[in-house]
Amino acid sequence: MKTFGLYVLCGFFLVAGVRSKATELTLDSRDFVPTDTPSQWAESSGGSLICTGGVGVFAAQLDLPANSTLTQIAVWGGDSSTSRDSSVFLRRVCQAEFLATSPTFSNLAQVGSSGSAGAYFDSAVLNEQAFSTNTCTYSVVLSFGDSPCSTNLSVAKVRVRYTNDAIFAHGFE
Amino acid sequence: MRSPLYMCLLFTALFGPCCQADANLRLLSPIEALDLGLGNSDGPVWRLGEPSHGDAGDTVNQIAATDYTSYSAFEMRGISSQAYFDRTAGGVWCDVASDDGFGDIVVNDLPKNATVQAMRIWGLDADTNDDLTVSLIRRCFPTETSGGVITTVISELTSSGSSGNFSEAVILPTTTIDNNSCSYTLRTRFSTPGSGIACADSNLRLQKVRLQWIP
Repeated sequence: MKTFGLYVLCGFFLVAGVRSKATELTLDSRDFVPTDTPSQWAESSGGSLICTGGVGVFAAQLDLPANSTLTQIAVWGGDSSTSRDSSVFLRRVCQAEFLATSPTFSNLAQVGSSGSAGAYFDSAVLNEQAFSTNTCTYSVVLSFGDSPCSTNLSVAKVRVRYTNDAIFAHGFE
Repeated sequence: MRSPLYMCLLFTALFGPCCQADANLRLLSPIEALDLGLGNSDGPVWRLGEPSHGDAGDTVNQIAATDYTSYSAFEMRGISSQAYFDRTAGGVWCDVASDDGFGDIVVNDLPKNATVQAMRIWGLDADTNDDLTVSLIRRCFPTETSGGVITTVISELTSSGSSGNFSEAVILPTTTIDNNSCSYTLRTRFSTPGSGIACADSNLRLQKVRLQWIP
């Protein structure tokens, strides 16, 4: 009986290990490009992205594997502005697979800075199944305050954690 | 309470390579850091591999890598909106009117725990005064808290001569990819420090960078 229990336990861990592989995708600040032509940017002396003029919205695409489940978004940056905060959105944009349709935007999560203490870290927990990479794109959008953007806000990197289901990834749905 | 040095020595004795991997780590001087476009607050900026002009590839080609990832120069973004790039099939160059002479390509597609072994660059150097430099840079933050960045120049490869198209490679110091704490970029400088210009225009072009790695 004890041996049988051990087999069950081993089997559970084996299945759990195969089924769900936790990993993360890090977007460096250099991944982000301005979404509006007038936006200007530079690198802070600490190597982070700062907006130096214009609207101050930047975006980077998330290259997620199919059948992923998003579990966390986290941001590292700097905020020395007493009046502005930076915002980071995890955005999904979907369209019909074989039809011409208007894109549907969804903000899946939002993190960002608050206060003006300098270096900040913020994270949010998610449980979002990104099964639809054939119809949706996933991206991270940064906003450095309202236009004109604040030069006292910066973003160093954004990390997205996800699990990838190995069984589903091979079509055993 | 044991000191970090004591713990490192203990781990070295027990597990060998864990603490020895970064044995060649050294601090960059502020001038060296600025020459790579790394600001004062990037510090401390560390260097793992010494600057190199690379070789044609005989040594590097003998490494038994299993995977390669190539990055087109077309993926490059200026480190500021004051760096202007021109693109043709013959490569990407930094316009002489630019105030900033650096461009970045992000490396975020290597799997966790991959070991990067070598870097090869393709480009064009027809300039007798300036050379092109590509550096692989790692930036790490605390895993779940705010904090300062630790910047490390993993390797740095500079073109030489002015004979036109070139391809050079360098073997990298042992580097294990850590996507949890760190991000990686390829930074290109389009002039030689001290030459008086930010960008050498179309005589210095980056075409492609390839990283050689094993899972």
